Amino acid sequence: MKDFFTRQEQAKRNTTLLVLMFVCAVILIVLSVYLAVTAGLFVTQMFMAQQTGWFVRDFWEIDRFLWITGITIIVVASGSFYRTHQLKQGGGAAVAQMLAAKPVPSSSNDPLLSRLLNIVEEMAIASGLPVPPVYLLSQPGINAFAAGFGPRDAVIAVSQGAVDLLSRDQLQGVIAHEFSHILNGDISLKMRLMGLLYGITLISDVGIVMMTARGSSHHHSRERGTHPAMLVIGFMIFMVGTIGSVFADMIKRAVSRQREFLADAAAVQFTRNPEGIAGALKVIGGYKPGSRIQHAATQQTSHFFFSNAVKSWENRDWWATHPPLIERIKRLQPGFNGHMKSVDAAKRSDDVMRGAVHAFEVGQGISTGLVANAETVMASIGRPDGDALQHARNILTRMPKRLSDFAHDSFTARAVMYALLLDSASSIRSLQLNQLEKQADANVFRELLDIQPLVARLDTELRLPLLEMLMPALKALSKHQFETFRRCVTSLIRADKKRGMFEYMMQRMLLRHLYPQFLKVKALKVSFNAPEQIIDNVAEIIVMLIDRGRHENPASTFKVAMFAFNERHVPDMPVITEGDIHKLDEALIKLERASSELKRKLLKSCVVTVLADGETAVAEIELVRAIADALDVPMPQFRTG
Amino acid sequence: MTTSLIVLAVIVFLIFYVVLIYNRLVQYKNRFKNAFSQIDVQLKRRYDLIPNLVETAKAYLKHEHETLQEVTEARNQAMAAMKGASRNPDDVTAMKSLMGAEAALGGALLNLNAVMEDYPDLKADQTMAQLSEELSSTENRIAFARQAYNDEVMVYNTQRETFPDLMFAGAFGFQPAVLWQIEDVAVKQAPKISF
Repeated sequence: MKDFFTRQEQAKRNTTLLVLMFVCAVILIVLSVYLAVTAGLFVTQMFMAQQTGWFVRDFWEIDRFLWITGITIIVVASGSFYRTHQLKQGGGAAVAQMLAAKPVPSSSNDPLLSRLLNIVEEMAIASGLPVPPVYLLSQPGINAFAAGFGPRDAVIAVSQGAVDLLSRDQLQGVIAHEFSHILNGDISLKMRLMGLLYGITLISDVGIVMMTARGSSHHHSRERGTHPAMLVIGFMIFMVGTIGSVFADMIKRAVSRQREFLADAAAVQFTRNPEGIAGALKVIGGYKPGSRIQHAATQQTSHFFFSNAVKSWENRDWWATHPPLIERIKRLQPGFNGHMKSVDAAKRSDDVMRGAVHAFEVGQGISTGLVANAETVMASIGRPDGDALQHARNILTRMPKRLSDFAHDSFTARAVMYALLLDSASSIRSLQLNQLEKQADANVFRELLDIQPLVARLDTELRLPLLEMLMPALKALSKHQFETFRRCVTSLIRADKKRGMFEYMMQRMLLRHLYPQFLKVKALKVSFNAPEQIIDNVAEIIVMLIDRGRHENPASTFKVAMFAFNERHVPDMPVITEGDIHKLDEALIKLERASSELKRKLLKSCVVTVLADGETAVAEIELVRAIADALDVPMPQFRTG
Repeated sequence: MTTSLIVLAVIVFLIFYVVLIYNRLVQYKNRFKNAFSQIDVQLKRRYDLIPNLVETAKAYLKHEHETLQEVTEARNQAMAAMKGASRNPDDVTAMKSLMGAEAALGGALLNLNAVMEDYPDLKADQTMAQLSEELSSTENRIAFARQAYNDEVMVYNTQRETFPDLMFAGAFGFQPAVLWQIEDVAVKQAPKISF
């Protein structure tokens, strides 16, 4: 079975393949446009020959070919470039907005919506991702999608139909399927695909413009002869554009279909409940509006959805972006007989509503031991299982209600973050509070004093999940509000001259996840492929980790850990004094740009370090998860017995 | 042939340019519409609190029926206005009517506050203290969400009035969005309400 890192590499290769397919499609389109324009000119001059003379003699003319190639490529390239740029700027939220989805405020009172938010939250915490913002599509069809270039800008959107008609388990299956798309890097591939294909579909728009442009300039034009040509060529280009859309669909289908099966399988592993996702598919099958999403932008976004979103007549099995429902159900439940009961929407939504109100009474928060060895921890990355989900539920039930209420509201979420960054030593804490009083909004400061005791008493294991829970509320700040918030967070960290390592990591995590929302962030290029290039930084990180875990025999742990990173060479153990946070920072900035193979090795040696002395302190696990997060690797919780 | 191709290329480029502008405006518009949904939640929370407040106050304020009635009516009107506005946050009339209704509600609450000064028993009531605490915390949240909304509106309006967006904004139906300003003195004090 492939692990997270191999899948990431594969996703990258798939992107290259995608670009190749795209280039082939563009070449075919250029040829078709040439044919269309030449044919258009021939047809036109048959009627106009008397007035203007023959202006096209040969079928093949290099000048015309170059012009047409140039213009077609300009149109396609600028369209693709433009859409890609737009998507990069807006992230997953841009796709949601294109479909007129509205953000679900993280502090919603509606029982169905808060059920949805709870599901998303527990899944995010189980898989070690920041909680993504959730959008609602006001559509009766049952569907959902995840979009974004990575975990940091990912959003999840769910249709009203899915919220109203799916039971908690079924909705959970659907959301798990979407999470698997996020964790496998599928969403980033789909974003690129959408950007590229826009250029192709633009061709038909150009055709339409050409046809209609004629109508408006008809009366005040002297050169009447060219206009019918425009009309004919415009029509031809429109047809070619339509053929282009067919190519676009083919590429989409090639990318999408197989991934749906994989995501279904991952969802079952995640929820440990094949009934959930299979049940959701059955409800879609028996429900009259099915999974249809009626919106002008559905066509270009069809490959993002959980199930077929476009009209049913385009849904021939061999043509659709998704495999047929029955086949998907059969893979989940081999004994399925293919019969789907028709769904009475009104009755079903009543049942679902009743279920949602009592959702918290059953089956919540049974603690499970996450007993682990290095192999299983590494395998769980990007592919969380039922234990991780149980554990996340347990964490959420242990989270004080008042604290999670605070975390879900943009106004109070800031206070929670400040409280998380307050030092445990009272002298530093009072210094921090003094500074905050000056810098932060007076009302927030009052909320901080209110919530601070609760955060201070918080089980250390709950601190990172709490940080992850804060994300959607903080992403809803305005840019201006974010600037103030960032200033306060930075000065909180600086107040403590020695800078605690964990506080530092939390600040880093927070800002890393929030930056794409507020600032332009450049994508990182991989620049380290050989272990020798980063081995010194890895050694420093391992030493800090050993230090934090208070290992009995640091030297031998170091050897074992470094051996896991690079068998050929174990360097000397570097000396790191407390407060050398800047070294950690430098190391992480560098390691971010390491190849995924190196990241895998690094995390493995971190896990080996933590597990080396047979007992794991929460402090160590927290740090490993924070390091994983800094490398954009979603690492679920783990623990040894 | 060559000239017409050049003309064609220029037309295509112009179309792109306009599409670019259009999409950018749409994006900014979506941002302030999203920011409104944050206000929406907080207003709903306040509308849910007010009936409880009125119920609690009723037991003490037997002779102030009108004041209480006023609060309830203002609350109902504001709630209706909010429904209209949350459907279409870019609809200027709907937004203005919500702002008006909210200002009226703020005034009515302030009135109630003044009346309650004369009833020390009510001020000492435990439920009342709790409700007023929650209400003032909600007021803070509303103010905060409103600030976020105004920030986004400012960004949108500025973009809309900048060249070259300025030339197309009107034609594409991008109307200037309204800032939620607190002009009324009475409402400005609203966050400090203490019953």
